[in-house]
Amino acid sequence: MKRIISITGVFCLVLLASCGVRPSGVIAGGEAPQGDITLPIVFFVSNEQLAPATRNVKAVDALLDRLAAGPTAQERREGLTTELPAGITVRAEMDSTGPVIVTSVDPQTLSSTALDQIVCTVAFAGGGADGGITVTGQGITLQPRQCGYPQPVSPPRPAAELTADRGAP
Amino acid sequence: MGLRTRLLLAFAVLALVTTTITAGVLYWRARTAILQATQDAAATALTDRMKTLLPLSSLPPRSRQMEDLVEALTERGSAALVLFRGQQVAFGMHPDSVPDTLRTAVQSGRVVWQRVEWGDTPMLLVGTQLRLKAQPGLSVPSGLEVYLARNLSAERRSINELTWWAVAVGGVSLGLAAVLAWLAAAGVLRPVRELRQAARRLGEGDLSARVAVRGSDELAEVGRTFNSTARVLEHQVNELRRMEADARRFVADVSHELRTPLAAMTAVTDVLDEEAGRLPGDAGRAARLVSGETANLTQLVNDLIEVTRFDSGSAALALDDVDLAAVIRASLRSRGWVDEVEADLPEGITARVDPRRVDVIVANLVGNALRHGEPPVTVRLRADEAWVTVEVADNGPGLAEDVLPHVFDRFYKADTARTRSQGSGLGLAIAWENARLHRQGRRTGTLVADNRPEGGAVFTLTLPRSSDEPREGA
Repeated sequence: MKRIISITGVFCLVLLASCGVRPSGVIAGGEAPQGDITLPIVFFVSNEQLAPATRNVKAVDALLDRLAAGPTAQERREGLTTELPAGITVRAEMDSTGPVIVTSVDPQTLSSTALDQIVCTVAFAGGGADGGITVTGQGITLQPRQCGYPQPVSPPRPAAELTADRGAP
Repeated sequence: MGLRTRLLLAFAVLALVTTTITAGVLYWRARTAILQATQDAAATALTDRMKTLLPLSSLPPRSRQMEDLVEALTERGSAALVLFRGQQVAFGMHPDSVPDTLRTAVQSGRVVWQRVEWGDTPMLLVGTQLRLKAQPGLSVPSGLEVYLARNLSAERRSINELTWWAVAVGGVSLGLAAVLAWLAAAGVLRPVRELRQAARRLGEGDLSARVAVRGSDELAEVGRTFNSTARVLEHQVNELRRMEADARRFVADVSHELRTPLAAMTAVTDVLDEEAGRLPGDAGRAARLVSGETANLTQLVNDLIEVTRFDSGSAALALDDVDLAAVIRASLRSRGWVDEVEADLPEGITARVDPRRVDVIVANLVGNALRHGEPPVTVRLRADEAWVTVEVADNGPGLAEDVLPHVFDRFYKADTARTRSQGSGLGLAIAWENARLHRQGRRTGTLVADNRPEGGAVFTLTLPRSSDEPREGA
């Protein structure tokens, strides 16, 4: 009899603990909405991550010029920076193997982020290829690389809310 | 713990467990469904509204667009916030009210949400970023983040209402269970109670006690067994009573039938007694023997008749207010024992008794003491408020331990070798019955045999000072 009462008591406590509407941890649902943008974009850096900015030009080379020119004063105020060295010129050419980007400096001197800026800008401008994009300059050619922007992943979910708050578009 | 309590407890625990589990699971599912529906609706509303910005024409989107977005998201109880590159561009709430954990989680590229409390108000915060699609499998954050805060007060009210319903349903079912348990216990306990009462009546001698048997369960089976046992018992006891009554009636009839010839014989032996002195030798001894035995036989028959009166319950008291000392003295005098007995009889002790029966008792006790004990035989009369006591003691060897319990049995002979004695063997039994006949309320006259510490037997007669009048026919 005592055991039955204590089991019932524990059950009631568990039930009470899950009562009402209480603060929760962060719960992740479906993927964020994504869509197109009508203007071409260049990539700068914000908080050590690539951040897109629009430029109203059509040609890829013109776009690369804008990339090399760096963020505008307004964009700088919003926290955008660039890792490309000042005065660099970047051109895109088509090779038999895919797009080749020619820089005016030794690409080995460029940081990984700076290379990402260039590769992603070309990739978003429609120059992406399965084999990756080659960067070359001053006779030195790097391995082809992809626009390696981190894609959405599910963050670790708080275990307690797995069942209660599952599912979202 | 009684059967009723155990049943009540069992039902209550059962109801509690069942209700708690049922109500608890239902409540939990309902709560989850409510919260989930709200969260899904908020997330859908947020993403659907954000998709109206697409395709984006520029970064940041035109501020007019974003204000429209905030306005569309801000409906009853909701607020929205649009951030671009960490800076607020359109808002209905302060950016600081969004916890850092949620801001960080938004960077994962998913719709994320979190329940928080703003003061006492429960809020649901949903946040996500708008991403730009480049090619299949490649998208980048546009730098635009939208947060939606939705008030959960209505949901909290609904859920609290659910809680109260769960508690109320639990309470009602507990009450119902208690009532059902009570009824069930009553259903089980009523036959048990009836059985107990019937068994008690049977034990008190009411052999006609039976229980009403209903149904065919185990209790009914017990009731049937009880009834058949009682029936057999009643039949056998009635049979025994009938046989006993037959035996008594036979003794009574025999005694009565013997009286008439004995009366004639007594008349003859009286004559013989007168002539015995003149008869020579054996004839004289024979005449005296016949005379003595006839007297003994007459005494025996009279005693038997007296005993049958006690047995048939027809012995009645003839009560009178008498001076006990006078009654006892008369009894001794009439039998010629005045010189043989030391009488301690204080004057003035009166009691309402049947003097004839007291005389019989005293005569039997004193006669017994004179026959079997050694002189001096003493008779002492004492009294208090409620009782009178007569002690008859002798200085003989006293009564053996194994004899004491049987002294008042009929035809009991203390000395088994002595098959013939002067008494009928009924004297003490009749004295005992006479003592018991005197009763007042719950107090009954007694006659007790014992040994005195200094040796010799002592018989103590105790009578209530006043006895109830005999009832008619008793």
